[in-house]
Amino acid sequence: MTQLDYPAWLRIEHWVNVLFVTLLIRSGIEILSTHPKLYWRNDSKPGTEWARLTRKTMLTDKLYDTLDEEESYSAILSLPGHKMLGMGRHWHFITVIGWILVGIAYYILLFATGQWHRYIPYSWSIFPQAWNDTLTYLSFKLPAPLPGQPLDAVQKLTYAGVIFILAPFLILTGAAQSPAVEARFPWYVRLWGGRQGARSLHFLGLLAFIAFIAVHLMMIGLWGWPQLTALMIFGEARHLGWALTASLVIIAAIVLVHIAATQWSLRSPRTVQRALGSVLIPARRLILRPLASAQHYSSSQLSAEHRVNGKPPDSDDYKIMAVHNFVDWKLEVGGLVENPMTFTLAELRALGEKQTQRVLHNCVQGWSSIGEWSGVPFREVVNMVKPLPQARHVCFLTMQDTGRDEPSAEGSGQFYEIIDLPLAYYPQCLLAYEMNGHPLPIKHGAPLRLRIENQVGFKMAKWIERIEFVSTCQGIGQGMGGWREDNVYYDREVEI
Amino acid sequence: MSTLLRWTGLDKLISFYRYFAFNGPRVTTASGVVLLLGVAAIRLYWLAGGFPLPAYPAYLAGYFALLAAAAVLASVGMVAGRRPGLVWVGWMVGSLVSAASLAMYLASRTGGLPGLPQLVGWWDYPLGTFAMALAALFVGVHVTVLTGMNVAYPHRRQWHD
Repeated sequence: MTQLDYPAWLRIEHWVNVLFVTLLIRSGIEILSTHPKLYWRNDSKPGTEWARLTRKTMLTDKLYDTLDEEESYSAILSLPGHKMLGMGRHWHFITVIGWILVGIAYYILLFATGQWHRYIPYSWSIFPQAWNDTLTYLSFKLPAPLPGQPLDAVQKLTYAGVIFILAPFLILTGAAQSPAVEARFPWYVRLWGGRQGARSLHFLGLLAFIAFIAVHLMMIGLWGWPQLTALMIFGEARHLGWALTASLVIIAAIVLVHIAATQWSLRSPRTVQRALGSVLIPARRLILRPLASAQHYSSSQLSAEHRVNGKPPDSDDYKIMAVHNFVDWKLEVGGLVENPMTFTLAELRALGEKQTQRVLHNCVQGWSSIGEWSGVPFREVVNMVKPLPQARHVCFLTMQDTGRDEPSAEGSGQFYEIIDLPLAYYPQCLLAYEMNGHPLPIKHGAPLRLRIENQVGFKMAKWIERIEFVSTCQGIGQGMGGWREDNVYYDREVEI
Repeated sequence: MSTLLRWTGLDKLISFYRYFAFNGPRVTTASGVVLLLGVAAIRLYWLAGGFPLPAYPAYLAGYFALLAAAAVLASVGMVAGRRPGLVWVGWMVGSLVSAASLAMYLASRTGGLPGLPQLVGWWDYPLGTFAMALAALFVGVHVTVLTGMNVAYPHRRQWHD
């Protein structure tokens, strides 16, 4: 039988996990701050949240959107704090990749070396033993470890729960919040009670992890901090002083990593965006890009009130067009194409058979709604204009001037978004001119918006006035592939 | 007062606390009822012969009966949805019951109770620890209701924004 001790790989992974879990918690809190409200239903209806983590209340006599609801959390609790969702997302996703890889290695090593029995019980008798241990704890005493094992029964079951249930639970509920995963596998997100169900469960998982960490640290203190630290440094209870010193050095190093990540993100977010994006973008392309949307929600599932992010163009030109139902609006489609074309709204409506899709919208902030969108499949327009071989991306220019129209947003300038050309051919990539059976409302992007269902919502440009096929994102805005990418440091490709 | 809060760092703690608000009136009330009924059940168990000593004074039996009855009545009050005044009384009685049970238990283990010197220092009694935990948790839940973090049935959140 394998001796259940503390091999080097187990000790190393423990401290690496301390780093990863703390980074995940802080960056996760940053992501939560962007929409600090939790719901159970997909439509995220205002007032139906089961939890609020904000002191802001919105005025009921004034229009507001979800950008107004964002909170700015402290840089101690969140990474990096100060309403920097883009940075929080980058750190969260890069850490998730590391955590999953370390976790896979841990599982493999556990089972390959026979150490898995330190967590998985040898027999069902562990449960009555755990009950006895619980009574011992309630007697303000410490139970004995199981014979030949480093843990008592309660600890063994708790660690097994955290390693084999809680950690996978967090990863799976995280994946259920990916627009690409939800779009390709609607049954998967239904499994978790929907998008908001997954989000709420993910938050409860966070609380469970924090509770585990608190109890874990308390137990270490009660059982003997120096001895247990030595086990996790040297693998045996020797040189207690050196072990304590080494643990403090490790903890200090972890704290320094946190400080460095926070300061780097606050002072130079562009470099963080580029550096972390260089890993995250290829990872998304490899794992999530192949997932094409196959959503067909029923009419009964449509959200009565589809939430909105962003305010419409506050220009006289736009208002005049709106008053005239956009009859004099024209969509220019050009750039690197053989046949540049211009369409009126009527011409777009006449293009082929109208496609309708009932889909789950995922805002980058975390809220969601289900809506029905109708319009012309974008691939039809693409096939008409015939992109040149050097065209690699499609740029959607809108009538929104962020500085003028969106006081809650960071930055100014014309709102635009760029997608990779292959996405244009995806089955539910749509130029939508209708919503829920009616002409597209102004707040949702009238007269035309993009729908690209395996991406986060900010990619789906509203109030489109021009589409250009380009070879590179360089030279457009700040060259990062969209207004949000330029100003709030999001990734250009957002399948998650 | 505000200076004191600032010096002790409590103002930051209070500020942090005010970020949290939950909308689960039924869950909140159900939690409170379960905790209170747990407090009552343990006292009834002790009355019914489960007390860890072979004999105990009559006043203690009366105290157990009174506490259990008060806890049950408080629970009933807490779910009397149509009478908000009764609900408030239910929660307050629940907290009084919980505080009294905690105080009596701590007193029995420290200063001692008349006729029960054997209880002094007897901390290694799991059911007693569990009873203390239930009582403390109830008070905690009630504090969250009083401070606005939670809302108890039949009240509802007025989140209309």
